[in-house]
Formats: sequence, structure tokens, C-alpha cells
Amino acid sequence: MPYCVQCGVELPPDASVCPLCGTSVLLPPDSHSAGTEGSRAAESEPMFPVPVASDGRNRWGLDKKRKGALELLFGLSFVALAVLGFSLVPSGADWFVPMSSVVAGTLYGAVLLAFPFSYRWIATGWISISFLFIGMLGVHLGGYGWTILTCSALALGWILLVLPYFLPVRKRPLVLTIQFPTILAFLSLVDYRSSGSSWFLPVALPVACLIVLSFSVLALRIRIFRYGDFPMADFILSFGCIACLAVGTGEVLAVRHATGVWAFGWSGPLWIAASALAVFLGAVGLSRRVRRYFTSQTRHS
Amino acid sequence: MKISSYVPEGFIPLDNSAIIYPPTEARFNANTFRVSMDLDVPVDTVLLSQALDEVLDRLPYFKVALHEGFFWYYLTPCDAPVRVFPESSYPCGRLDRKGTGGYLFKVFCSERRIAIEFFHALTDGTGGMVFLKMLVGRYLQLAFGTDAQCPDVPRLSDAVEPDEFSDPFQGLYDPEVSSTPNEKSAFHLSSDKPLTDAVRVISGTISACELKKLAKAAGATVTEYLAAVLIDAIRRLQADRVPRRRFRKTVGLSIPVNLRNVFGARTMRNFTLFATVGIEPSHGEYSLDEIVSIVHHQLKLKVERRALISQMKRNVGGERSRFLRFVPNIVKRPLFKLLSDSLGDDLYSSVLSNLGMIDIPQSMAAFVRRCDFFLSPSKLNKISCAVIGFKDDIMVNFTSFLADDAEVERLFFTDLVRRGLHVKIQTNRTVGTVGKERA
Repeated sequence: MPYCVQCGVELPPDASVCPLCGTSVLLPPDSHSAGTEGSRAAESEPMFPVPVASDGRNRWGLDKKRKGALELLFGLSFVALAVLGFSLVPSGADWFVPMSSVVAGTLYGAVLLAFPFSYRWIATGWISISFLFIGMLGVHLGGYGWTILTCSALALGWILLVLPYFLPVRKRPLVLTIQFPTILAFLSLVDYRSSGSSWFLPVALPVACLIVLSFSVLALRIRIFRYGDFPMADFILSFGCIACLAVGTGEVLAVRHATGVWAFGWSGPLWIAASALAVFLGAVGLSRRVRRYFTSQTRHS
Repeated sequence: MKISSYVPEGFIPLDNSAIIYPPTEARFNANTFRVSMDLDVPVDTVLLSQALDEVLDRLPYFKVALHEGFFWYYLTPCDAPVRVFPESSYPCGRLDRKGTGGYLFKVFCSERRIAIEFFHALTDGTGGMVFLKMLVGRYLQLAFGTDAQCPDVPRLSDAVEPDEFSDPFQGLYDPEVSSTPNEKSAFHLSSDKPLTDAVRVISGTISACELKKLAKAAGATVTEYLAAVLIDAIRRLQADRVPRRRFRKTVGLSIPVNLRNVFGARTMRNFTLFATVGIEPSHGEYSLDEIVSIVHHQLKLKVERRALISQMKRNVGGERSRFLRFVPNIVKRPLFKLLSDSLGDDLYSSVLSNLGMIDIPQSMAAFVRRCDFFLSPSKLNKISCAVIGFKDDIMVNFTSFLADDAEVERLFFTDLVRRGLHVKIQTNRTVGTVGKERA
């Protein structure tokens, strides 16, 4: 009878690795069949004797129902394409948009049926189809400007809303380091494509830097917080403070960019709210420290 | 005998414990459990089907199907033919009620094994084991003429008693008792990889004598000792994955308590409450002896009659609340899912259920080699532990949704080996998938 040299547990006679730690079982070649103990164990009922049963899925992982629904969908799509083709092509009308819409609709449905039923896979499938469809439409219609912007927006949407679900929670910082430059790149692209004076460098970039700086300070504060879990109220108020500060800064910079004058427009109340929240949060933090100092059991040690 | 003779209204309300199971049932929350017996002789499927029909005639409560009403789920008598299914590779999956003809249990048979999987809304482990003992006993009687009447199991010839399918929770409800307070959220195992609903099993067989001796030396029962070892395993795993102590969460275990032993009912329906025991790793380090002592005292307090009645007050009080009674089921379903997480699964890190030593007559024991008990895991608590004793062995069966991570099981069993116990491991895991995580 084999034993795991790492865990010290007895393993089934036919085991090749330990199921607990994955250590290989090394036995002389004839030892599996030798010995009365081994023979008795072989006669007994194994844990789950049937080999992994097929669950009715084919080699693409589709069960019978989904396969049937896919076949029906493709069949209907083929009929629709045939009808459209016979009616539009001879008449000389634009056949590309209606027919590619049918193809795109079919593919949306096919993604729903063929992909694993999870948000990240279905969202990825749909975004890819939209990307392809809009790209082809742009080539067909000849207008690349809006196509580039729309495809970039789709790519940005995928990075912001879907990518985090492909990575484990502990890799959130990596996700943020990808998302932030992508947002900046998208904004610069929009700025580059739009007519008029450039607003990216004088307005968008400083606001983005301010947001990153503020959230870094908040993250640091959460990291060094020593009185149990960081209070949710503090987090919400800090978030509100950062939002007010970012919108207010954006507005001041936009006014400066448009008129060349440093002045508050409609963002005055936001600046007041941001200042009040910052003062309040500072006071709460200070009072927490003072209370902690006078109630701590270990301050005399 | 038909259950409709006992339920003239034509429907049976779910018992208080069962109410939570149908609305929360999902792919990764199957709410099933399995009991099985391995025989020394090959099983004849025809005789087993005959035995099953006869046993179901004696236990009409099990001949029911589950339906969704406008306000509540309910059971109705079911007369569909009962089938015996071939053994599957992965136990405790989601019960396919269409495949079973509406029944809330499924009988499996392999060459030498008879197993039953139950949906928890139907019965609990004790009720399930009574059913299995009757089925195996009757089968052996038909096949070999053995007199296999278990002492704690009704006779086939006896009349059905309404007590066997009563809901004792309702009688024990005391509106004057204060509800049991809620507990803190516990640590849950996480996985970077997607879960698999093909439940992976690691089963450890331990000598009952040796384990009892070890538990006795630590001043605890076998359940308390195994619970402490499992808590310690999860504590060490958390310490490894969460290096900063103050961020570590409670390590708790939910231990089902068989209320029949406390309140003396004879029902075959659910009559179980859950006692949560655990430690606070953020408070400091614990040795196993300290954990054993904590579990022992916590369990003593929680299995006390008044504490259990207080817990019942919360559960039955919820069922009787006017707001919940008149809320349509379509609204109740998501509400119950939230309640199940916040008042149930979120409060503990795993479940450890001990059915105890299985007592069967000598004439029957001569044919039975081994008994097993498995619990389905859930999405939040991805590992469950079920314990059962038979003859000289105690079987500790871990079921898991984590296909390539057996770290808790490894820590648990290696700890027992280090304390001098001989542990024999069996599994349905695919070779080569375990250990990659650690490597």
C-alpha cells in the first residue's frame, strides 16, 4: 500500500499522485498487484467507480439544447440573408448595411448561446462583434473619423468594465494602472479628432493628475489606518470631496482655457463643499487620534 | 399507504428549516447531501427497485414533489415511478427534479454500493440515514432473507404515524423568547480560478478508537475535536494568505445539531439547527489545544436547550412575520437569497456535519463494508466536511468546488497524521490537478 512521503497518509493502491499535495507516488512496478492487502483493496468499491461521465456536451462544450437553439438561429439567419440578398442585390439598393446587421444580430445571439454564461465572456463577445461590425461599416461608408472614435470607445469600455473581471482581485492595482493611461489616451484621441483649440493638455491632463493624486492619498490613508476597518462614512465623504475637487478644478481650468482668466464659474459651491468635507474629515481624524491617545491602555508602557 | 390520507388539503407546507432551501437552490448552491452504504456483495438492481417501492410505501412523506406557490413553496404527493440511477462520478450535484420524476431524492446504485442523494428541503441527515437503513435492510431481506431490522428505524409492517412527518419547530416556537443575536462575517476561501460544479471529494478513513482516544485526551468529543482541527487548518491557511493579522477575519464552522436528541421528536423531516463555533485570528495566535477548548465551551453553550429555542424564535418568527407571509414568492426568492448569505453562509467558513456512529444489527453489518456521508458545498463556503462512523472507522469526507486546490484538506489530514493517526485517503479528483497551486 502506497503512502505519501510528504503528508504521511495512506493512498489507494492505484494512486500515482497524492491528492492532497500532488507528490508523485514512486513504487516498484509490480507492487500494485502484490500482497494480500492490495488484492483486498482492489476488490472493494472504489470511491466513485464510474469514469468521468459525459454530461451530454459535445467537443465545443455545447449541450443538446444549446446546439439545437444555435442551429435554429443560424438557419433563420441564413433564410433572412437569402431573402435580403435576392430582394436587394438585383435592385441595386445598398445591401451591405441590412445584411451585415442580420449577421451581427445572429452573432450576438450565437455568443449568448455558445459562450459560457458569464458577464465577462458575453460582454467580450458582444463588444468584439460591435467592434468588427462598426469597423466594417466604416470601411463600407468611407467615414473613418467616427469609426475610429466609436471603436476606441468600445475598447475603452472593455478595459474599464470587463477587464477587471478577468483578473483576480489582488491584481486590482494592475488593472488601475492599465485603465488610467487608457482613459488619458482616449481623451487625447478625442481632443486630436475634435476641431478647435486643444483642451487635453491645459484641462484634461491636470484634472486627471489631480484625481490620481487624491485617490493615492486616500489609498495611503486607508493603508495606514490603525483603528480597525476604515469607516465606510469616511470613504464616502472622501470620495465626495475628491469628486467636488475634480469637477471644480476642471471648471476653473476650462474657464482659464476659454477666456484666459483665472476665475470661478458655476463651481464655487463645489469648492466650498470640497473644503468643508476636507476640514470635517481632518477634524474627525484628529478627534479619533485624541480619543485614542487618552483611552489607550498601552500609552504609558 | 399514501401521504394524501394524512394531508386532506392536498399539500404539505415546508418545515421551518426547509423554507430557505428551494429559493436559494442554484448551480453552486445545490443544498443536497448524500448517504451511502458499500456492500460486500453485488447489488441486484431489480431487487433494489422492489425494496425501494416497499420502503416508500412505508415512508409516504418521501413520496412528494416540490412546487412553487404564489406565497410559499410547498410539497404535494407524487405518484411517479421511482427510478434507480447508475452511480455518478461527482456526488452532491444539483438535483435534477425532472429526471427524478419530481421526487426530492435520487437513489444511485453501482456494483456494490447503494447511495441516496436528498434535496435538503425534504429531510436532514438523520432522516436520510433512516431511509437508507430501511432501504438496505429491506434489500438484504429480499436478496438473502436476512433479518435486518435496525433498532431506530420503523418496521415496514408498522402503520405510518403522523409524528414521522410533523414539523416540531412550530410547537417549540415561543414568542416571548428573545431572538439569538447575529454574529460577525467570517473568512471564506477564495480562488483565482473559476469554480467547478463537479464536486471534488477527498475522503479520509481514520480509526474510530484512535480518534476517540485523541479527542478524549484533549477533553472533547470527536465532533469538537475534528471541528477544532478544521478550524486550525483554515486559520493556518488564512495566516498564509492574509499576512497582516489585523485584517484576518473570524474562522467559524457551522455544526448542525440534531434536535431530536435535545427535544425528543421522531420526525423524518428537517429537525436541525446550526451552531456556529469559531475563533478570532485577529486577536492573536491559537494552539490546537486552545481551539479545542474554545470549541468545546462554545458548543456547550449553543447546544443548550434555551439557546436553541432562541434560535428557533428567530427562524420561526421570520416565517410567521406578517410582512413575509403576504409577500409574493417572486419577491421572497431574492430576499431569502440575501438572508441566507447574511444570516447563514457569511457567518462561517465551512460546515462540519457529524452523523455519528451508524448502528445497524449484526446480521446487516455482515454485508455492509462502509458507510459514507457527503454534503454539497456552496458558492461562499466552497468546502464542506461530513463525518460518519461505521464499525471501527470514521470517514471524514471533504466536498469541494475547488478543482485544483486541496490545501484545507491537506492541512487537516496532515495535522491528524502528525498527531499519530493513520489516515487513508480516497478521492475522485483527477490525477495531476492537485498540487499545481502549491508548486
